[in-house]
Amino acid sequence: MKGKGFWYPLDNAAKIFPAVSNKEVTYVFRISVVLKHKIHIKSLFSAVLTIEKRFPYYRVILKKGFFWYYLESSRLATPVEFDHDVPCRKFTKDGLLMRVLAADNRISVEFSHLLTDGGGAMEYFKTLLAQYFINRGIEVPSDFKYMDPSGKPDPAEFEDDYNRFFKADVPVNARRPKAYHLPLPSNQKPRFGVLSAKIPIAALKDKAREKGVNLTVYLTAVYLHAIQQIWENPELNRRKKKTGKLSIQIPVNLRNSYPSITMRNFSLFVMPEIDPGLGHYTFDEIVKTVFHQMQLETDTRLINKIISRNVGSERKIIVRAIPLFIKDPVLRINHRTMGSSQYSGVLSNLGRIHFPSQMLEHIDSLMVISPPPNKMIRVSCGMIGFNEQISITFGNITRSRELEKNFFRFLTGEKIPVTITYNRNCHDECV
Amino acid sequence: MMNVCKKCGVELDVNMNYCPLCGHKTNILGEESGNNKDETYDFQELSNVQKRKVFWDLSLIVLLVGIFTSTIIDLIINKNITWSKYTITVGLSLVIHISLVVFLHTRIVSLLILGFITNSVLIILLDLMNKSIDWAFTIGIPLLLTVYLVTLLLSLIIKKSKQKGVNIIAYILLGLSVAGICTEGILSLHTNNTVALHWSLIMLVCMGAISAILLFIHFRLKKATDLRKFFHI
Repeated sequence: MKGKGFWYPLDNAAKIFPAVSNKEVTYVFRISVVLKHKIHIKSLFSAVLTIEKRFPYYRVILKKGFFWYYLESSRLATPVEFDHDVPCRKFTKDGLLMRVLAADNRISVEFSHLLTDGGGAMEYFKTLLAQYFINRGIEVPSDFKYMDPSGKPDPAEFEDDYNRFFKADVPVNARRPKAYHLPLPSNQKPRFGVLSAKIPIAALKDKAREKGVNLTVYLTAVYLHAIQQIWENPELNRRKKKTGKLSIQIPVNLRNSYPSITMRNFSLFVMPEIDPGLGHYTFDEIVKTVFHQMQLETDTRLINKIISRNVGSERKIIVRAIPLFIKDPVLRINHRTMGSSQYSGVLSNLGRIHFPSQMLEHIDSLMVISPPPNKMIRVSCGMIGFNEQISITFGNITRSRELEKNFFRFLTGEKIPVTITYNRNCHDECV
Repeated sequence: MMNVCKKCGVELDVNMNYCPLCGHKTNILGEESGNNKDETYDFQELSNVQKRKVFWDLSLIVLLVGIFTSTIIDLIINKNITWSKYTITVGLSLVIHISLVVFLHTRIVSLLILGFITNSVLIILLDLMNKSIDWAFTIGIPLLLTVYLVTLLLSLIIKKSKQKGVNIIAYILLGLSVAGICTEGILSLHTNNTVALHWSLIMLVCMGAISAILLFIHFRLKKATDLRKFFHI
């Protein structure tokens, strides 16, 4: 049981982030809700304070050990800030690795990936929203599931479940070849821009059902189709040689595959891909190949294999015994060659929340912003569903909105209504 | 009527004078303070960048007026530029220094390098203007270089220090000792053509002893680090 003054090592997924994060590539993601009323600031402060004790594993600061970084509990209060700056900013060295932000009608929570993934952050977010509504006198029906702020955290919530479910005797996964990367010109600092749109789930589902696939497969296919359009555009590729497959990294919440209640990182990636070097893929062909690849890659045995590769390398005595100041640059190079180079884009789906009608009448929209992409990936995508809507948000560090344009134009071409809800740091070349 | 913050747009309680989210004053306080507005109100409202800009503007005006006035007086009295060349040189040097501090205060390395160059040029100019002295290259610039290097080193060490306490005093004392050794070395080289150290060594021993005590106190008082977490493998 973790008492006062606890510490714990970073989980397997988080181990690399301190070495590779910087002011622009922050590994910080955001979940936002836009309400139909102005945020009552006293109720928000009070809600943050009330739920703070329920999530002690998020009240930690990053410390540097001799061999590894670690997280140490802190008495610092959860910061509640005015939301006026670039989203997903890096956290300061001596502060907590999460923050709550507010402005006008919007409440956002931002988490560093050092702490948790979308699954853990979503639990905090739902609890915060429920507590805020209670403070405002809005009914939160019992069918809306969130964590009881007065409850005690379960020790299993602190667990590094990559280690728990690690199997030593599984053969490791082979390295993937390099993927194609978007040839779009980088933006000036601060580079990160955001474009978000709201789409009715019913319309999307109808189209996905026509193809016989689920929403994630359908939207991944649209994403790959949008990248293929950039791949096929000679004007955009004149400065850079086209090499590699088109591959999308899709985080998978492992809490759905394993009996886990951890509130720390516990997700892996599947990477469906197409190789346009072999010839043009029609949308139907992309849907078909993504569907089959997703089926294969989400097999638990294959997931075990990836966990074994990731955790196994961390457990090697040679890796463990190298001091941090040597490990950091090695991790940075490793991340470049084995991480970002293997995929062309990121599509992060945080699933769907169902708000009871009493709550829904106060909620306008939800949004999830993936961590700012690095100079290789350049554009990332996050999505979240709530009731009858799905919110798709692109984070972009380039001056071009070509990918977003291709993506949303395809959907509107399929007679799916798209409403742009948020657009920040849009430059001259935007659509 | 709902009390809404004009800056961040959140709803406030009626009795709130300030927005707890962004620190902006509410309407009620704005009206009250508007009735008995004091002279410094606007300046206090400015951001730090704006305040620095105002300070720079004012300094520039004062210094340029001073340079201009002294030059005119010199021209009227002596029909030539005589003593006013000193006020012009020193005044322009001050203009450069103030500009450096205002615009480069966050970039300490650039600030110190440019500051050193400006002061070196000033010393050389003063040397050239007054033929009876000849100290710029032998004493002035080496001493200046010592001061700037020690300051640069100290500022970098202080910046890197995670816990700032009496250790900072210890670092400053050690910095002064190093500056003392360099000063005595430069002066003795100039006067005796050889490096002979006396008082600076005594200074180093004294300062070193005090620094050692201060550093010991600082690191003993520091919260003992749990070795298990620091060395976890």
